[in-house]
Amino acid sequence: MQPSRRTVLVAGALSFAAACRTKVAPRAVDPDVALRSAALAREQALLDAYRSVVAAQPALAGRLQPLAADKAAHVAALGTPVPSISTVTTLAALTALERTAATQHGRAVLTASRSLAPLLASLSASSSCALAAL
Amino acid sequence: MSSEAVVLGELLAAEHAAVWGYGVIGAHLDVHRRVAAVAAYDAHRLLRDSLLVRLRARGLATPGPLTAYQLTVTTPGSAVQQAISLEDGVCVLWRDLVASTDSPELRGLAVRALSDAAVRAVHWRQTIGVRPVTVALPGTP
Repeated sequence: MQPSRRTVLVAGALSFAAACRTKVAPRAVDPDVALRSAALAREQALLDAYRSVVAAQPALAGRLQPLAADKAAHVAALGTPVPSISTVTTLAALTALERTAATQHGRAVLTASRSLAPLLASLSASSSCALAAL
Repeated sequence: MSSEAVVLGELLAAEHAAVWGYGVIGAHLDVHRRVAAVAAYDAHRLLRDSLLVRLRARGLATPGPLTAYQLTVTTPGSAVQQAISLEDGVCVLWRDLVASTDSPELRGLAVRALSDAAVRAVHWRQTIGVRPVTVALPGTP
């Protein structure tokens, strides 16, 4: 038996509605994406700041370069580096930046997934260590 | 990945060992460095106690310390070396705890303990001139 015109139309409308629903349904957002990119932004800003302070005060290079190497490793662990020009030129400003990073990485640890949280914990500890070494 | 209960147990054992270890380490240091060892001893005692509280709250076993631990300390330099490896060792476990629990309260404790232990390791490396004084990712073996 041929399907009636009405049956075909109704079936078409239903499948269209189903397709719309799949498209409109809210996709589960992975909270790690935002946490990871915020962490990368913090580490990239730190790396840029270390380079900028060394450029402004070359006498500090011996002290700052090992810490800058830590930051470069962090950036590499988090994603693709996007270097920019930092306005930080003093040790005091660098210290303030490390202190903020330690706090913000530490806060991100509380809500990240089990796979990202340990890296963020290490980053927070690393900033605390930099504060002790600066 | 280890479960939260397993890591909490491993941490208790490590903090017992750290408390014992700093007793030995401190005895080999001059007065100036001993102050830092006593502060570290106190910090590990507090961590051990907070672990005891959390293990008991979960109805888990809380074994006491061993009667003795293997620790080779003959000179002030080797005492500081032991302090560094002791702190590096607890860093790994506190980081493991972050990976094995979803509790924000435990994660908060763990990230503070990891940071404090890593900073103590930095101070000890500075004391004996080990370079670099920092590691890129504290708590990674």
